[in-house]
Amino acid sequence: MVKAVNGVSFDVKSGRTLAIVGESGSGKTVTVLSLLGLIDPPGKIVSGEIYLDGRNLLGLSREELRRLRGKDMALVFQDPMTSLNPVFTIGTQITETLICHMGIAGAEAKIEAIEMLKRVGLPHPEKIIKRYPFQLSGGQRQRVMIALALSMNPRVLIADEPTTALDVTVQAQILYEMRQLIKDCRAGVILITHDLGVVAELADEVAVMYAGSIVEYGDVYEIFDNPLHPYTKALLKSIPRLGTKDEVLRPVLGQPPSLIDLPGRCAFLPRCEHGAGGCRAGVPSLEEIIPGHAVACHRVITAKPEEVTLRALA
Amino acid sequence: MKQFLIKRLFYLIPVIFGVSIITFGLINLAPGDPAEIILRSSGVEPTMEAVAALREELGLNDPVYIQYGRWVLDVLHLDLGESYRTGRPVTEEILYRFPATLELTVAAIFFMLLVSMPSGILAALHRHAFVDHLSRIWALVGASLPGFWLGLLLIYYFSVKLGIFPVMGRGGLEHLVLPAVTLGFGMAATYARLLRASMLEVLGQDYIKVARARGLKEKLIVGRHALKNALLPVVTAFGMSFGHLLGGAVIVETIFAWPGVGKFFVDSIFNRDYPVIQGYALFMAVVFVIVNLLVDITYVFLDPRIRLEKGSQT
Repeated sequence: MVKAVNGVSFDVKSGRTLAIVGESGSGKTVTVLSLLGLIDPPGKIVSGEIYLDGRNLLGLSREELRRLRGKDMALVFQDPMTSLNPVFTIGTQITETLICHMGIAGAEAKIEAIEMLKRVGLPHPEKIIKRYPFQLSGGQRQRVMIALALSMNPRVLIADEPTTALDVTVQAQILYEMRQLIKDCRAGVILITHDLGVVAELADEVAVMYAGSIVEYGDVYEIFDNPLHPYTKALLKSIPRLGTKDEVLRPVLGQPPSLIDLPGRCAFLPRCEHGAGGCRAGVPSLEEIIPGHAVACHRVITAKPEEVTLRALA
Repeated sequence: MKQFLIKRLFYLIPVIFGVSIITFGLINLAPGDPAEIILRSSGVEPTMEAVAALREELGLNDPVYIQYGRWVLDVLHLDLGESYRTGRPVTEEILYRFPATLELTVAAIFFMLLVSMPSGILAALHRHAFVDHLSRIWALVGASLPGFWLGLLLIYYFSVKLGIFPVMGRGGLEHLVLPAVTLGFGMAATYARLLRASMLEVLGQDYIKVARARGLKEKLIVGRHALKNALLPVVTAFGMSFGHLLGGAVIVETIFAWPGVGKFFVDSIFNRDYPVIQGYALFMAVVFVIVNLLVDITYVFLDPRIRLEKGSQT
């Protein structure tokens, strides 16, 4: 059995945005697909709890969960090119969702669909609904996806790399619009990304994932100003900066471990600059070092709390 | 759409031209002298003089291209010559028998759809489960059984032993069942597997995952979103395998003494009735081309990307 995600735990509050950051294969997408109950078989949730407004989702029947999906929990997927069915018009795909969740008639759903597209800033929505996905640009498609996701005023919005596949200029626009829309509908947002620029733009809290576990968790300012886990530090250092004379790229050296056979120690150890003998003493657990800032690193945890705080203040 | 049709109809011209050359060439390459055969079949002793006279009368002494030109001119006037055997115009003979063949072919396609659609979809949904294995075994059997053997087997059990269906001939629905099953069986098996593979690929697409995340009912996702996409390659393959169906009809019509063009064709081969063989080949080529045109039109309706290839982009 491969544990793609292990011991991950987080809260998302209404109106707040949690960013899940990590390399490809670190378990970000699997985590949110589990929330939606959409893990492809033979994959399954072995154990855990998922609460939405106090209701445990793992206790729900498939039908109950289906009714929640798209209504209370919405998803914006990473690639807008492949997220829409190529053989149905935009209008059909929006109205079927509305009809499914609101039980309204076709004509009414169409008016609602046009209204939604207007809200996400698409010009000529009455023309857009007659188009097929391939007739729209990437940015337009992603706006359609956002419109679809936010149409039911969801409690939770899951955005899986919503801007990765878009042009940089379009990215900025979409991010700006998403921020406005999220503010309006007061949903809790789970944002998956490996783009720390997007994190800085949208997130309130950040969870850094490595090899299927959260290795650091905290307020966005804390994470950017005072990263404690060596992996987070390396990630931040790897962002190329304009305007500095130092033109050397600083990648996080090495490869992420295979999830098939995780060692019984810190999974980041082989790539860690500060690795020491003590790091072999079991898998470090996520511990709150400073209120609201947790980290899973033997070195940081065993260091005196005062020392960490001091370093944070320096 | 209109442009597409005109373009496709225009393509018909070179295809039919090519077919006419091959068809005409067949008779010239075939061993034996048509004049001699005509004389023999009409009970006249083929003396040197009689053969020479008939050759002159039939224009067989003219250069091949003149013979071809004459034949094409006749064909353009829908005149395929007269059958040596019956003495009636070939066009009349074929058109008189074609409805029976059409009935058989359509019934076989209907049987094929009736069996392959549900079994293909079920096998895809329950991959590697009992239904899937059953469908796999059945596909192997169906694709390996020769039509003539299956036909005889069906006659033996259902007509001779159980007496449910008539042994041969054309008539009501009960006459149609066994020939249609015989003709459609192998195709049904192959198409069930083809649809399964196509469905599996589509079900793994992002837009299906997104459709699930939108909370759509599974029935709608499979029956509409997945199926419409999965049918595209199946429809394409159908156009190509229609030829097998026509070829199979020749055998099935012979086994069940079905009074269609196929049986007439076989009888004509045994009797070296060249005008009929030539006419049948040309006729079937035209039917095949028209069916493929219909398939392409279906394709256009299924896939908007083809219909709107040069449509307005935004």
